[in-house]
Amino acid sequence: MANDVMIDMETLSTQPNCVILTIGAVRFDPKGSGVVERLEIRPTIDEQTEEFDRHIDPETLEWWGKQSEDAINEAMRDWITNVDSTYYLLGSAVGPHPYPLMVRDFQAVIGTEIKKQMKKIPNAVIACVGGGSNAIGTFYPLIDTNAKIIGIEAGGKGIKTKLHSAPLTAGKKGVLHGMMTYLMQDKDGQISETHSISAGLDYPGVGPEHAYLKDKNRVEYKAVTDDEVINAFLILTKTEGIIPALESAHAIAYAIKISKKMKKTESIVVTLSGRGDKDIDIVKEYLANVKNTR
Amino acid sequence: MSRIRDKFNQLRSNNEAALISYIMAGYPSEKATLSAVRGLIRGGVDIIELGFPFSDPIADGPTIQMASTESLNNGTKIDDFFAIVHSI
Repeated sequence: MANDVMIDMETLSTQPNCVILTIGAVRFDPKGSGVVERLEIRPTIDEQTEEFDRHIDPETLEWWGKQSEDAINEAMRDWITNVDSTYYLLGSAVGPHPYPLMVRDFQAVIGTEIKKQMKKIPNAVIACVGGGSNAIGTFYPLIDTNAKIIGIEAGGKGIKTKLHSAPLTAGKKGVLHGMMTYLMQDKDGQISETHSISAGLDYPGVGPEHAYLKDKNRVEYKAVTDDEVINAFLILTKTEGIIPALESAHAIAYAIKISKKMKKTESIVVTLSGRGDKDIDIVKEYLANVKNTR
Repeated sequence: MSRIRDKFNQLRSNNEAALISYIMAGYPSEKATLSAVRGLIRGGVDIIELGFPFSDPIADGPTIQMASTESLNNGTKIDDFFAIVHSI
């Protein structure tokens, strides 16, 4: 029997009259067949604010804005407090040992597939790096080959502006979320605010194995800016009909750059880690802002 | 470190337990930290653990987390921390 139900509600305030973004529910069998029924409700925000006078709290909005890092903090705090009854699982190759290795091993299906489908070793492989799960999965099976391996971080508005999320390019070694790695931090070791047009890369740290591969000089880590990312997003969408996630568009932007310096007979593999349907509104807003400021 | 060991040895020879307290440096202010330390000493604390505020204190509970955030908002830097230790 599948009578276990899990409910998740996302809101824009912590008050009872909050605007609700989504209500999700799954009925599942924890012992076997998994999810047997699911429900997702996405009420329209305008209706809630205009007709029912529901509340949006600026602090909650701000929290959502930087939720990746804060959510990890809260999840870890809960895990540490209730370690007997809580299982910690994070969707990236970050955190304390052995989690980064576990995520790497599962994600390594990407690199293994690349080798199998290419039937040869590509000249270059490129993947975007936030926490770095798709990247480490792409890179790991290719580490012992002669492929050029490149990880692309979120350069945001530019490395010099400090409005970026590029700890491998511009960060320093430190400890966060149970790992020693490169972090965006100030001289006292306080974690800095990060910026990226893509939420998935908006994280002040990076998986520790990437830090190791950087120090070993096996993988080259570079950053591209939001502008370059939007450009790459548009190019792939218009020329191939593939809408890439803004995260993945970082890798595409760099592939466009280096392809100009490579021979036509050479091959580049870019990991397309996600689809961009979710990012359409962000791109629309970005382009509208660019238009207004010019 | 020997001061901490000496303290424990002294307490052990008197068959006493150690009373150790924790406070966050710079919360709610540098001045308040110093007067809290004075109060703790007068109250008979054996060892004081002075916390350095961190932006992401994941191993701490909500109270220390809040004190940490507040202290950083007040502008506590590492030099201020050692200045507090020095005046103690």
